[in-house]
Amino acid sequence: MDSQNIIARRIARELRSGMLVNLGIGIPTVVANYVPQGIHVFFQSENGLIGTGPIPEEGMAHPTLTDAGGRPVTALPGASTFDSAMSFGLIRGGHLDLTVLGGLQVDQSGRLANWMIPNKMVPGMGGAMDLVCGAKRVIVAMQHTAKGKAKIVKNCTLPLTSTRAVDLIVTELAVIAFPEGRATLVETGPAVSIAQVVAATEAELVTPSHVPEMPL
Amino acid sequence: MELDGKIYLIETALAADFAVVHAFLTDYLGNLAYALTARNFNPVIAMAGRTVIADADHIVPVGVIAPDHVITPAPVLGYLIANA
Repeated sequence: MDSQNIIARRIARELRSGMLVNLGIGIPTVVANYVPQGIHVFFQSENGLIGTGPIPEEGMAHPTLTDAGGRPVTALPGASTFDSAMSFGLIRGGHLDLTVLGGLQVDQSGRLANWMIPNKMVPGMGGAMDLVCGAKRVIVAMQHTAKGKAKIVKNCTLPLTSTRAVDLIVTELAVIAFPEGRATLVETGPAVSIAQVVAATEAELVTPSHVPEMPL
Repeated sequence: MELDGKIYLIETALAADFAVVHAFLTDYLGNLAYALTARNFNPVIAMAGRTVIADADHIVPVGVIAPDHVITPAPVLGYLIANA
């Protein structure tokens, strides 16, 4: 299994029936492919849809039904559509149970940077700031490193998305949580040692003596 | 800005001289209803425009759009562009 699918599958185990969930672009989108059997969740697209379904088959795209990135999606029976103000009201008002977002960097207290790299063209922050501030639970889905450089760092060099700490980071090498505000290794990736995780992490990582391998 | 002990970023409301919106349905009064995720910013920006111009896929007689299904009420609308 490649790293993207390892990350998505592990995060899918955090889903519970009845949850309202918002998935960001990239690896987070893949989580929808691994919803465990018997679990029913509502996926929100922040452009104004709850009940987002799979990508339509070739030729079946509906011109007025897209996700937040403008890609065609489907709407499951029981779906609802609404305007952006309502959509962000849901997010800011604390109605969102979980958001899964990509990340550029996370610091050792759990603060996320994921919206821009200085001097690079960016389309804008999108919903990231509202999602990190408003969701009940925030999970970051990302590769552990970028071109060999650590992404879980002592201090983010990129601008933060929010000062609120995220709840969990899931990478192909590790699951990291932030009890008492400190990055703590809670699971290792398949066939990954604690030493490998520590070597690929710049942040100070609390490592208990026994760390289980992530269930997939 | 601090409010009830929490720090907030304040972003003031947008205003526009012209708001151009796309609707799915309109009637001859200018009530608007939207289709699926094409609703997104349309009713929101309509409220921000001093002059509101709409284009709609279908124009129907007054009364066809049920009151419960009107999203942008007619008085908000300034101009309607009819598709040929």
